[in-house]
Amino acid sequence: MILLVVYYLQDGIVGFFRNFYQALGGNTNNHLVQTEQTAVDGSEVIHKARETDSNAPILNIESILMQFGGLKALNNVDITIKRGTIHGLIGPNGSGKSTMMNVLTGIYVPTAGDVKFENQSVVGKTSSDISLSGIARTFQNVQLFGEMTALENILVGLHHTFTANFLDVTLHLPRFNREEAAARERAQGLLNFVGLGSLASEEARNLPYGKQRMLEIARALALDPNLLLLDEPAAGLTAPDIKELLTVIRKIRDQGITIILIEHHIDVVMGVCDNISVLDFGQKIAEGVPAEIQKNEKVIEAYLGGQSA
Amino acid sequence: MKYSKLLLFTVAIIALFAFPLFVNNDYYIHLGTTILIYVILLFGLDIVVGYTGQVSLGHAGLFGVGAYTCGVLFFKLGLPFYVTVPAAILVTAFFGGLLALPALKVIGPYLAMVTLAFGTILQILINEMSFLTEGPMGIKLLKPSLLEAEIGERQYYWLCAIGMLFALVVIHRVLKSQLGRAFEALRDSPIACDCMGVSVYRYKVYAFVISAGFAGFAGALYAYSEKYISPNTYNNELTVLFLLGIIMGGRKSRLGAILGAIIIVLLPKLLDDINLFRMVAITLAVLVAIGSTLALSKKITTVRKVLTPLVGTVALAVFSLF
Repeated sequence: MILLVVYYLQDGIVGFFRNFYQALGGNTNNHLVQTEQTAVDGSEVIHKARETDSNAPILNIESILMQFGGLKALNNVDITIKRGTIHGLIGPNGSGKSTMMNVLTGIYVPTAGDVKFENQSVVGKTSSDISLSGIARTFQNVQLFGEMTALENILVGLHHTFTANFLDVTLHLPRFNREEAAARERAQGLLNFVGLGSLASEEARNLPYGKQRMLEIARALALDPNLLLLDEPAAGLTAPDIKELLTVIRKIRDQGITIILIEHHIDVVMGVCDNISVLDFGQKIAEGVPAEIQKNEKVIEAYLGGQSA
Repeated sequence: MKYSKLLLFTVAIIALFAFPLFVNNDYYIHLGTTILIYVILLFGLDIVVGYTGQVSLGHAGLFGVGAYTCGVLFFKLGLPFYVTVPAAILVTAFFGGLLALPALKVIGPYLAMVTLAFGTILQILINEMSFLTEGPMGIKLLKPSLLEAEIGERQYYWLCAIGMLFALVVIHRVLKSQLGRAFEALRDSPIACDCMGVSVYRYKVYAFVISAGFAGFAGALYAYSEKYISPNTYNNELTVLFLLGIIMGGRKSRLGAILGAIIIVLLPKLLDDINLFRMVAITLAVLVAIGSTLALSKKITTVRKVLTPLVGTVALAVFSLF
């Protein structure tokens, strides 16, 4: 019997009837055709980055070595990220960009070396502690919470704003009600900011790809980060989507949030970044402002695969 | 819409409480009580299975822990109902925490194996620890008493109904809060969950603890309901039954848990009797036939797709007549 149920009624009887009823009533979701709200100014929803010593670098990556067996995915890389800038991280496939992201967010623990975020080492801390200390990220392959609505996805990002305990929740004490209302309002604000305000009650897995990427950015912003890591945000986006993305990225920077941008679209990187580091086979081969990078011979070689002179 | 929902809910509650007034057979009331108790357990199980997406086969063991906490406190110390039930919830929640420890390390089928082992170990422990649990002899209990008299089957049904409604409200509120969202998030993408500052580690433990708390509550009510507990009630068959209930009823749905509980309690009884079995099979066939014609007329499915379930249920109905 359990086999029959698993085969025919994957959502259970209740889920089955819900779907059946919706299909019969022709109750298809018509949220998607609604007119897009224009992206609003984000100044009220995005909390400004905490101002500290503005000259000190926000992130110091010190001779990081990341080894998988015999493979050195990152080999003695040093990068310094200045506060309030957009820092590009580029390189051919397999050059260690995403590994770097995972090291920064605590998913991998580096074999050697140190990462200092606002003068505190993040090596050895858990991912959730690192994210709470102010580093938020998006993912190369979108990692949304598919069965939850867009609004709920953001609310998960706002989890850190809740202090209500089990008792507050079950009895709906004022503290929980207040926090819930504040979080919902802010989540809606964040959705408006990335232009998804009208899609708040849509399940994340039903959103078009470009919107999913935007939703990931909004969710990351809900953490009130000082540093935002964007892992190929433009991958698979259409030209108009990319344009919208760039506007959003610039607006985020205007709030004083530092951004590290991994990207393959060279025009995106060149257009928006203040500084660029280039990785190839786990080593940093160049660093500088976009104009310098474009002329750098090593970079051209890495991308076009010429013989070294 | 909202108004009609409220009305429906009120009618459902009235029906729930009025049920024993119209039934004079104690056996049917007892079945109703069992359904209510299973509903409470399935609510809890739904947190682990439906929301956090972990398969737990240890819930029969936890159910047993709840029942035995109650039984032992009653038998050895003679404590009253309102002490034993909260104690059962707390003790079972603690065992749920123990169960969560392996859940953090293993996933998927391996977790199912570990939880299965956990349930079996609990059953064996209950069986062997005779000094505490009276071993295979089991423990006899009396129903809680009101005004110096033991309450009857009907009063106990009402008590369980109140317990079920309480569980419904608590579960619903927890799942609609940040806790519920965290549970759901760690099912869909644990890695993103961690990077959003929601520690997967911690919330898995919370989910198991809360879930076990409800299993303990259900177990305690069950002990009083049966008035006799013995180790072999809490076997792996019961675990699979619970899992079937939650999957069949529909996960991530309170209504699904209620439906699942009704099915797992009533279906075996219905299939016992050939006449009832005939009725069930024919009703099912008619329902599927109506559903298929409706679906076909609205063109949301094809003849091929509805053919297998239709032929299957009709064949079952025909078979039942011989």
